Amino acid sequence: MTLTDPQVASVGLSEQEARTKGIDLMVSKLPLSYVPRALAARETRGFIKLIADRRMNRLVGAHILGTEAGEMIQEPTLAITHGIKVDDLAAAFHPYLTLAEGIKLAAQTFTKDVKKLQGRSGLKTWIFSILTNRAKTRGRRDKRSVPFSVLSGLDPEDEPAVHRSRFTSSGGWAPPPERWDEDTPERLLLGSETRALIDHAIAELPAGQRAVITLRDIEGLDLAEICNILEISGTNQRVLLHRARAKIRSALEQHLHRP
Amino acid sequence: MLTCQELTELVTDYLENRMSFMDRLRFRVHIGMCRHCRAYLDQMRKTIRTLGELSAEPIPPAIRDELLARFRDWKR
Repeated sequence: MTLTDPQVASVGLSEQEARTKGIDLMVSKLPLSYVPRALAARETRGFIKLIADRRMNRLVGAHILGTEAGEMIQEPTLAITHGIKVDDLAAAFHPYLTLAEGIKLAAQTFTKDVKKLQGRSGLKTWIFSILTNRAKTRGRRDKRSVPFSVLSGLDPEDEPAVHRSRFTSSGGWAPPPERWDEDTPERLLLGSETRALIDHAIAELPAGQRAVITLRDIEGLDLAEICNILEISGTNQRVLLHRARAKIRSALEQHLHRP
Repeated sequence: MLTCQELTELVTDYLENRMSFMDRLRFRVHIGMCRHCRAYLDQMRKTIRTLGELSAEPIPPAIRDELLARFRDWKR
């Protein structure tokens, strides 16, 4: 281990040494920018690299570059010494928001695409879950507030994405949509008036639609994560998202094409 | 053949990649032929992009305190 900034810590074989020995290798390299703790600490320089024997399903080497690499190397050291299986390492409990969790995520990276791991947005998901639970509890306490079940309920009336008056009886566009310039969003956001308009349009949405469009389009969470946070089905969520987006588009259209 | 009105109801499934191969194909055939629906799809993409550029609301102090408290509890 080398006490540089960031630190470098290695245990076991390097990738090249393992290859020279003719071991059938699996290599997993996880940038620290996928580890929630590193994101939260705004210190994402570095990576965790794990090397495993595919046939034995055991670690043969670990190499970590990062501010706390020296602390993190301890777990792979034990895993190599005692022949702990990669699957067991990937399944073992690691507290959320610790750098140690990075070892677990790196072990999972052997079999999963790192970009699909929850790591990157884990912190946000966790915070939103807390906020949602809070809203649910408050909803139960305060009878006047909207019951939280409206999140999963669809609105009773049929809401088309685009008003029927915009189509001919055969379903073609009557006044067709106009083309928006390439820089429309950027230009729009320059005006505080437009911003207020979008905020207003979002505020006007029914609770479920508002929750879904906020999490998906403003906060950029995955569909699956949103299902978990709001405890609604995928289909339900897509309908809510569809209706919400259609209304925001329509509000923008009215704003852009005012006479 | 898909009508323009029907297409507007499928845009979200299309953009979120939740369509069967055949439905996707039908959607794309329509988009390829109909410039009005191309404009609509483009408006929808720009709407989503605009939403993505809204900065997040600041966290209200009460909620921030609760979050910090939970961080501390969880560390124990």
